[in-house]
Amino acid sequence: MDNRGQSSSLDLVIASLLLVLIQIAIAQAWKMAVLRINSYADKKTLDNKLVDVSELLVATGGDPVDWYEKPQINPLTVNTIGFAGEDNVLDYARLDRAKTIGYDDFKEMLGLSKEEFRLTVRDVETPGAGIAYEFGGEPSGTRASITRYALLNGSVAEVTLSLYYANTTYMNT
Amino acid sequence: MTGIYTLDAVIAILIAFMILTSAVVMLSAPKKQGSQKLYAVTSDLLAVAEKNGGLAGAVDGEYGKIDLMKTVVPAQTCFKLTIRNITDDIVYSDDTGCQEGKDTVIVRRVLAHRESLYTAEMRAWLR
Repeated sequence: MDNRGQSSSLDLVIASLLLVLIQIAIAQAWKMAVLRINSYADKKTLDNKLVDVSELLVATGGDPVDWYEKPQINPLTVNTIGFAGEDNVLDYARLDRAKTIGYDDFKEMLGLSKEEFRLTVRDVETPGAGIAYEFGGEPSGTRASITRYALLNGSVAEVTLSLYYANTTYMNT
Repeated sequence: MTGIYTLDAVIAILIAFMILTSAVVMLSAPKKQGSQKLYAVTSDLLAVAEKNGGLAGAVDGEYGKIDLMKTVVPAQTCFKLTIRNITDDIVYSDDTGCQEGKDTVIVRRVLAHRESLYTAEMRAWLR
């Protein structure tokens, strides 16, 4: 019998199968890790923007401050939108005018690019008052929210801003 | 070649160093987002309490508007509000009734009321 250079083909098959299985497991684990990292990074970016954008809305009157009196409101004529007549006191005139702004222009004037937004203003002091104003879409995917407080016509109001990325399939973390 | 200074060992040490460095950087990164949000919300509450007359009412012993603040904040947000006069005596103090946490944010605001100055301090933390 010739014993030179022989190998067991069964061992080879099992070893190859094991190797393939291990590679598949590593690929799956890597994919999950990347999804988690992306989701975390997106959430962090959104959280950073939330405070800045909400501050613009409840603590400033916008830039220019008389933006709501302009005949044309778009990113060429208005730099930023703010709803406050003074710190933490919302102004009906600004809120009413904001309802006439298109979503994309609104987004750009809030300094958002990839992020989508939803904004609600709700009187929490007057029983049954409900949502006074709402702007933007319905949040989905990775999102972050903040609720700020201000006065609206003398009553305490919640201003809730949600930022999100549309059509994301990131994992919930 | 014998000895520990092989190419494999060098690569392994480099990778281990990179992993350790990444772990240290990630663990020591300040968790700012939560406290930034809480600080912003606490500033809002104190500003609203001043502008709707809640702080002035509390100094005068009328607690309706200041008590309202406790009802509007989310259940997981706790706060303690203290108002002191110019000689640092406490003229009003109230809280949401939960144990103070370690990541507390503090916001202060000066109030001028009836020709006197007061300092309102709001400490807020998450349950």
